[in-house]
Amino acid sequence: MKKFLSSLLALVLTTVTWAQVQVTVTGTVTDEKDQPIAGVVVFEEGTPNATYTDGDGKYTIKLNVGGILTFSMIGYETHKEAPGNRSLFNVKLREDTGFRLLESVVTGYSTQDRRNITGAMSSVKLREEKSAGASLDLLLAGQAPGVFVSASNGGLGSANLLVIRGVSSIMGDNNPLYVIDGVPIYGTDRGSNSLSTHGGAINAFAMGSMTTGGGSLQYNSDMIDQTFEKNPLATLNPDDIESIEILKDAYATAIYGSRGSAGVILITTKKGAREASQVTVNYGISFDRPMGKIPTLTGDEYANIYSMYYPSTGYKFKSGVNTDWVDAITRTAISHNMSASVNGGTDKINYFISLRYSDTDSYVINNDMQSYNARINLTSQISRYMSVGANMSMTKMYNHALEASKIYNLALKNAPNVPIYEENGDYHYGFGPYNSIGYVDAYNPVASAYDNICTLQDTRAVGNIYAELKPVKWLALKSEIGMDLNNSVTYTKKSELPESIAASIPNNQASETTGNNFRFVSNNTANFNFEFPGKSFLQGVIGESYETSDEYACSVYGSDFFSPQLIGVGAAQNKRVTNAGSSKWALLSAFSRINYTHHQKYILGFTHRLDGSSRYNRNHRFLSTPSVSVGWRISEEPFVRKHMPWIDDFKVRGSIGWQSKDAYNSYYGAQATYVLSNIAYGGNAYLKTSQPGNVNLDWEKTITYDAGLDAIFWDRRVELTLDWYYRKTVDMLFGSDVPAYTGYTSQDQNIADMRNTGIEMRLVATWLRTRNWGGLTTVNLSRNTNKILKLNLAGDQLDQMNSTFKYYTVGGPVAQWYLHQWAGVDPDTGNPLWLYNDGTTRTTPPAADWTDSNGNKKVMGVAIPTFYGGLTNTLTYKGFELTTLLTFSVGGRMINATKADLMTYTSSNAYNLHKDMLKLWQMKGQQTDVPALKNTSIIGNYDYTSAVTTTRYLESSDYLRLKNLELAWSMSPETLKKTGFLT
Amino acid sequence: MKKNFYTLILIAALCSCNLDLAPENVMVDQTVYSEPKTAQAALNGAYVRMNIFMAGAPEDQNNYAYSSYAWLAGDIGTENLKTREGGSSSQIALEEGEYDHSVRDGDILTSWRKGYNAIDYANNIIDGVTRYGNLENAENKRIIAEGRFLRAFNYFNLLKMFGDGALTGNGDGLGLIIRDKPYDGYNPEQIQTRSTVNQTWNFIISDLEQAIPDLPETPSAASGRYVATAPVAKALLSRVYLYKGSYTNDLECMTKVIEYATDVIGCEGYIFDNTSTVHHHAIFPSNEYDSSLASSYPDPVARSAEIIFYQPSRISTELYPNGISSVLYNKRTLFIEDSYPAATYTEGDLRGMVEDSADCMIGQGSTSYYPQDITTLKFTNNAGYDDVIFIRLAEIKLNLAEALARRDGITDEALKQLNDIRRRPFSPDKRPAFLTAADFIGKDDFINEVLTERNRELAFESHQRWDLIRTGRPLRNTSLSDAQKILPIPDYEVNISKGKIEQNTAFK
Repeated sequence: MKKFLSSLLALVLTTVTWAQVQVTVTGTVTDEKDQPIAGVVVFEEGTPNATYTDGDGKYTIKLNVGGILTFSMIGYETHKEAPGNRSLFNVKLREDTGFRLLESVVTGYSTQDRRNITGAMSSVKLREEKSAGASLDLLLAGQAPGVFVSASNGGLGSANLLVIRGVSSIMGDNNPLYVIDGVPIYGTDRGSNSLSTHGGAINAFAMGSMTTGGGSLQYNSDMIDQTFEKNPLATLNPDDIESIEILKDAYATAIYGSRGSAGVILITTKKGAREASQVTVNYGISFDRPMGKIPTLTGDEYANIYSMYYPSTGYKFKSGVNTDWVDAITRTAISHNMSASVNGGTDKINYFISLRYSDTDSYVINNDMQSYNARINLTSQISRYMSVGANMSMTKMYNHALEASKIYNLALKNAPNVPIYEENGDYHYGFGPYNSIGYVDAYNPVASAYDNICTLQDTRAVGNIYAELKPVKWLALKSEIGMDLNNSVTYTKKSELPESIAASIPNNQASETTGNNFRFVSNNTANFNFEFPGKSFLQGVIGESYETSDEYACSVYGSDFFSPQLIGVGAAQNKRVTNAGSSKWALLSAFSRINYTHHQKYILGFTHRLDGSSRYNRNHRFLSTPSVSVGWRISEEPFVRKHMPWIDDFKVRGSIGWQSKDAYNSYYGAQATYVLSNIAYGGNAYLKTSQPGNVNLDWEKTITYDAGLDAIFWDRRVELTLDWYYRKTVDMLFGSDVPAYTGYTSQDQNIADMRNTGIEMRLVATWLRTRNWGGLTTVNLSRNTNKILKLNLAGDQLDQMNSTFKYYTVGGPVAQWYLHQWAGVDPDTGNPLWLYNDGTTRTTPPAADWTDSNGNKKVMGVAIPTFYGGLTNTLTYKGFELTTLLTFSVGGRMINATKADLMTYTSSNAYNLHKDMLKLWQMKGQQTDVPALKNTSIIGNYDYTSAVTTTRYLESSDYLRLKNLELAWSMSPETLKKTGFLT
Repeated sequence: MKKNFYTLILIAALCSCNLDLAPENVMVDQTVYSEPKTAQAALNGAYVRMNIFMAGAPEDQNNYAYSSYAWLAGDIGTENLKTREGGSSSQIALEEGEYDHSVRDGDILTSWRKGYNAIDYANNIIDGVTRYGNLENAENKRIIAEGRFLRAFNYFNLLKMFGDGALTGNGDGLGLIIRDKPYDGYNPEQIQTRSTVNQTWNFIISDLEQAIPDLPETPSAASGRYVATAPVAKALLSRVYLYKGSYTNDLECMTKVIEYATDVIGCEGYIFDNTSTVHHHAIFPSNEYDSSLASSYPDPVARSAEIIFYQPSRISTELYPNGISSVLYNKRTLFIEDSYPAATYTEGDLRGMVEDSADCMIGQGSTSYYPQDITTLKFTNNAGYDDVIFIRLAEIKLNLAEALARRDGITDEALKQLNDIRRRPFSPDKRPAFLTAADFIGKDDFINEVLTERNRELAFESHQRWDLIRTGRPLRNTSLSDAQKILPIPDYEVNISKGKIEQNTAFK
C-alpha cells in the first residue's frame, strides 16, 4: 500500500514562469582606492548561482533578469545590487566598519560563516517554481544526506515520516524539531497531531497522553479507522522559504538541548532586499493519477470464489454485476498552486510580502484541500544602533480529505458484484440482495465519499517580533518574542443511512473537536564578534529562552439529526461533551556558543544548553547538554595553496556532544493520576489510579561523535561533504517490567541503550558548463545502522508494540519483524505449510499452538531501511531545463497488510479479493502459493493463512523511484514582449 | 520610545517563568488527598482493589475470564471443592500441590500482583492523607485507619497463601515483601526482598491495632458493612491471632483471640439470629428480583445483622458483581462431589440439603454446564449475584470457642458458642441435644468438633484450607507436607530480582 501511495508523488509538472530569463554579467570588483579585490564571493540572491572574483577582481556570472547580485568579502561591507540591463557591472566595496560574514548560515540563535562551521549541517535551497502543492518535508526527500523521508499516508495534509540519522528513541518522537524564524513550531509528535476519523463516536483529538510506539514510526498498518495524523508543516508556504538548514550532529544541535537529538530543521523565510523591488508570481498546475492499481476480482470471479467457499444453499453470491469500486471512487486529481510575492526596501526598511492560494484535489472523489497563506516579513533600521523587525504568517487551511485513504480502502475491499446505483438512480446500500454476507462498513464507498463529511479547518498564525541593539560594533543584543497560534476544528459527520443497514453502521451522528494551541517563546541573546589581528575571530552567542505551551481541546458529540441538512452538532437531538480541558508545559533554558577561528585555519567551538522542563519531576527537571568541536581548514595552509590550487576549500572537522529529546509525552512531572470510575462501590463513587507515579523518570541522553569533511574543488565544479557519526542513546525510555510486588506490570523506565552509526555523503558536480549547455548532478547517500545495546534486566524483551509485531532484542536493531514462517502450499493437498523453528515443515499453523506460539517465530528483517539517498540531475540547454529526481531506499521490509486483507475470504466481511486468489489450489499436484479454499490452517474462527504475523505477506520495501521529472522552459524577454505579456 | 519598547520586551520575556504547572483535567496526589471528599473516593477505590484481589470486582471492563481469585484458594484442595479434569490448570495445581512454570507465572503471578496492587492503593491512602490532609480532622484520621485496615487485610490474605511457615509456626520462614510506601517508580538497585513470617505478622497486627482507635467505634448499619469499623478490625484480629498461634498452641495469641472475639460478640449491632433457615433466607438469600423492573434492582431481603464485613455485590447494589460467582455457578472448572453433603452434614442439617431451590446452600447451579454436578449457592444462583462475606459472627464465635478450649479447656462459654452454631440449622423439632463437656473425651476432642463444625458452617467461604494447614491436618492430596500446602511465589519475582527474592522452600 505504501509503495503504491508513494508513487502518487511521481508527477509531471508543467510550470509556467516568467521573468526568469538568464543573462550574463561581467565586471570588476574594487575597493575604494580602485584596487581590485580577489576572492570576493559573487552570488545571485535566492539561487545557487555563485562565483569568485579572480586575481584581477574580475568575475563573470549568469543571472536571472531582475536578479540581485550580492558581493561579499571579509573586511568589506556586503554590497547588494541589481545590475538591471547592464552586462558590464563594476562594483566598489566599502571597507567594513564592523564584522561581516561571508556566506552566512543560520545556526540557531546566531549566524555563522559557512567556511568556519565545524558541525554537520546540510543546507537546502528550494527553487520556488518547483514547490507546487507539496509540503516541506516531502520536498526534502533525497535532498540532504542523513534525512530519510517517507510519505506514510496518501491523504492530503497528512503527516510524513522524516527521520534524521536513524531513530534515537523507541518510545519517544523521532521527528526533528522544526524552528521557523526562531519559533519552534507545533508539533511534530503524534499526540498533538492525531485526529480520529472513526464513526464519530470517539474523541477526535488526542490529549497527548502516554502513548507507546515509536513516535511516528508506524509502518504498514492497515489504514482503516486509523487516526489521521496531520502534517504540522502543511500550513507553511514553501515559496516563502529562503533557506533550510538541517542540523545533524551534536555540535549543531546542542544549542537546542533537550529537543535536539532527532535533529533540528531551521527554516528561514525570505527578507526584503535593499535597493531593489521584485515581484514574483508563480502558478503551478499538477495532475495526479494513482499508479499501480492493486488488481482485484471482478464481480463474476468474486461470486464464483465465494460460492465455492460457501457451497451451502443457505448462501448466495450472485454474478452478473461487475463494479470496479476503485475506479468509481478515484479520479485524476488536478491541483493548482498560485503564489505572489513582493520584496524590496529602502535604506531604512525592507519588506517581503507574499500570498499563496493552493487547491489540491485528492485522487479520491469529493476529497480536496484548500489553503491560503499570507506572510509579511519586515525589518527596519530605526536608528544607527537599533533595528526592529517582525515576521508574521497567517494560514487558513480547509482539509476535506481526511477520509480519502479510508474510502480507498473500503473500495478495495467492497464486493464487486454489487452495483453502485439502483435502477432508479439511488445509491445501492449494503451487500444484499446480491450476497448473503458482506463488508458492512463498506456499504457503498461512493456514497461514503459524497455524503459523509470529514473536515479539518486549521487557522494558524506563526510570527515573531524582535529588536536588535548594536551598542558597539562587536556586539548585538537581541530580544525576540514569538508565537505559534493554531486553532483547529475537526468535524466528522456520518450521514443517515436507510433503515435496512442503519442498525450495524454508525450513522446520523457527528462529532466536532475544537483545539486551540498556543505556544509562546521568548529569546534574549547577545551575539558577539571579535576580530583579532591576523584574521582570527572569536564569535558566539549567549542567551536565555522561555517557552510555554497551552493546548486546549473541546470535543462534542451529537447523534440523531432530525434532518440531513442539519450540520452543527448543536442541532443534534442527542448530544454530549466528550472531552474538554487543556494541558500545559513550559521549558526554561540558558545557552551559549563560542567559536574561535585562528588565522582562518584552526577552528574551535563550544556549545552548551541548560534546559528545565515542567514535564519532569523536580529532581530530574534540568538537563545540561554540552558539546565541543574542532576544525582545520587545510585549504588555507600555504603548501596546499601553492601545490594544489585546484582545491578551493577543504576542511576537516570533528565534534562530540550530548543531546536529548523529550521522549516522555506526558505532562506534569510523572505524578500519579486518578480518575473517577463509572462504577460505584456500595453506591459510592470511587477513584482509580490511571497512572502510578514515576518520579525516577529521567531524560533520554544521546552522545554523538561526528567526523566530517567539506571540500570544494575545481572552481566550485565539485562540492563534497562526507560525514561519519556514532550516536549512542542512553537511558532510553522503554516500557519495561517492574517487580509484581509493586502491584503493577510494566512502566516506562530509563532502561535501554541504543546506538546508530552511519556515513553520509553529498556530492554536487557541475559536469557540463558550456555556452549553451549546463549539467549539474547532486548525489546524496546515507547509510545508517542501528543496534540495541541494552534493554531491561532480563537482557531482552519481546514487545509486540501496537500490534505491529516488532521485536526488540539486545544486539539487534529496533523494529525487527518477528514472524511465523510460511512455507508455501503442499501441491498434493493444497494445505499451507509452515516452517517450525526445529526445522520441520508442518501443516499445523504454529500460531494455533497457544502455549508456544512465540517459540516458533523468527526474526525476519527490519522495518527501517539502512541505505537510502537521492540523485538529482539537471540538464540545461538554452532556455530549457530538464530535472530528474531519483530516490532509493534499501534494507527495509514491510508487511503488506492490504494484501493480507485481500487474501482473506474466511471472514463474514466477504472482502473483495486480490487477483492472486485465482491461482488457488484446485487439483492434486498443482504448484501454487495460494492454498485450497478449505485447508488445515483454518481452524475454528481463525484463518491463520491471513495473519499478518507470518512471512507470507512480508515484502521488501526497497525501491528506486523516479520522484520528479520536470521540464521547464524559460521564455526570453523578446518573446514575452511579442505576446504582449510584458511591456 | 525606543527604550520603552525594548524594556517592554525584556519584561515580557523574563516574567512568569514557571515550571510547576498544575494539571486541569486529572487529579494528582495533592488534589485527591487534601480534601476528605476525594480522599474518601480514593479509599473506596482501595476497597475495590481488595475486592478485585479477593473475589473479583469490575475493573476497567467486566472481564471475568480469570479463574483463580485468592478467595477460591481457601476451598480448592480441600474436601469442599473438586477441580475438573481439563479445567483450570492453576486450580488443578492448587489441588495437587504441584505448580509448573505456566501456573507460577500465570494465575499465581496475577493473584500476587493483584494483592500487592490493593496494598499499593492502601499505601497511597495512608501516605497521601498523611502528607496532604489536615490530620486534626477526624475524617482524615478515619480514612488513614481504614487504609491501614485494608493494608493489613491484604497482607493477611497474601501471607496465608505465600508465607513459608506462616500458618505452621515458623516465625523465621520467608514472609512477604513489606511495602509501606506508595509505588512511585522502580529503581532496580532498590529491589526489596522478603521479610520473615514474624515481621509480616507484626506488620499486620500493628496496622490493625493502630487503626482501631481512629475507626468508628460501633458497627455500621447492616446495609453498610462494606467498610471497616473498629469491630471489623477486632474481628479480623481474632482470626489473625488464631491463624498465627494455633499450630504452636501459643497461649498469648489465644488470649488475644479471646479478648477480641469477646469484644466483637458483645458488640451492639451484631445479632446472632437463631432461626434455622437464617442461612438461605438472610445471610445468603437468593436475591430473586422482578425482572420486569430491570432498570431498578429492588433489595429483596434486608442483610443479616450477623454479617460483619462483606463485598457489596448483591445484584441490587449498583451493578457491582463479584468474580467468583460465575466460576462456582457454571461448574466448568470446579464442582462439589456428590458424596460431599452426606459426608459433611448430619441428617436434617439445612446447610447440607441438596436441592435446586431457594431453600438450599448446595444445588445444581447452571443448567447449561454439567447439569449433573452440584455446586455451592452461597454467592450466586440463577437469579444473580450475591455479596461475598469476608467476616461474619459465626466465625468469631467459633474462633472464641477454639481459643478458649486451647487456653482454658472446655469452658461453658466455649460450649455455648459451639452449640449456638451447631444447633441452629435444624428445624426446632429436629435440633440436636446441647453438647456438654461430658460428651468430649478431652480438650482435643472438643477442638476437633469445633473445627468440624467450622467447616460445616463456613464451607466455601475461604476458610478450610487455612484451617487445615494451621491445625496440621492433611489437605485433599494427603501426601503434601506442611511446606507443600502453601503456594509458590511467582518465578517472575525470583527472576526479576536475580534471585534476591527467594522462592518458598518446597518450590525451589
